Amino acid sequence: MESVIRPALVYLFVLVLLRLTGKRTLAQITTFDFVLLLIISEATQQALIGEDNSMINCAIVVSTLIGLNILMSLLKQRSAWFDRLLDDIPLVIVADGKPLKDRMVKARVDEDDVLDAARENCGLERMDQIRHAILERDGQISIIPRR
Amino acid sequence: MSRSRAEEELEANLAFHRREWRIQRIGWVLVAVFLALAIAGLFGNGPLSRAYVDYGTGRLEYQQFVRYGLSTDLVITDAGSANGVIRVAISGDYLEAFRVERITPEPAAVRMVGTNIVYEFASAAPGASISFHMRPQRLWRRTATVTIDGGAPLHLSQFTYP
Repeated sequence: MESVIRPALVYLFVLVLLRLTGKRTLAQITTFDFVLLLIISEATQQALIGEDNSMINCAIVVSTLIGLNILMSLLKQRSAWFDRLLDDIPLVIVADGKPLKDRMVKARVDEDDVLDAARENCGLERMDQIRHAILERDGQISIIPRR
Repeated sequence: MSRSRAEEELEANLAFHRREWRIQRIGWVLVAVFLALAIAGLFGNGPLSRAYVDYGTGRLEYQQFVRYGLSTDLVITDAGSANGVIRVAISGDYLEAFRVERITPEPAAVRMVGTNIVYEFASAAPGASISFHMRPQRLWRRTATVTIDGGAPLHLSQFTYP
């Protein structure tokens, strides 16, 4: 019983915490973010399995985590509200070449990030070459160039 | 000509996907059933796993399903006799499969009688309870015979998951 309850609680805890930190947090994995992920997994491991190192416990814990993920994907598919709650919605941060400052501040993205994405994905150099920039749900910035 | 072949290939791919989706759905159901059984306690720690046998005045409680390396309790409740001495005999072959880590309260004496090991508890008040904390050392099904105060032998069986 607790082999199911433990991972379910950890799943919900990590889900809420990562959702609260915002889109950009783990989108661009810097070395530090990567190490942070390792530390998080190390810290949650104890709570997940306790002192039960049996194979059957491993099977139950992994099945619970994967099962919850499948359940969440099914719920997201059926309910737009739930989808927004869990996965957020995209945000326009550059409209018609004009950066929308207040939104960018709230989303913790700056013009350098936008130009970074513009160079990387479209080979653009300047803000006025960008028609729209959108902060996607996974934290990536997609660029639509001006024609 | 080439277009129809491409279409044929796509059709074949679609059949593959349909089969894949169906198998995935079946897999999800199996995962759900597995988790439901886990919550119920078929794999240890749940209502399905709890078991007991009654004897005379008391009761012997144990888990039917245990996990390798994770300790489990054998609890005798409402034990106690007129003279305050309780003798618990446990079959020796069972104690090969389960290591006794701790007994609460500590027995006054431990003796070997035939193939059984007898734990003797002194000055127990009526209604006392005794816990054996055991750690499974072997996999699969093990049976034990427990005799309390020379009464009828109680049989219990435990399954240890890897």
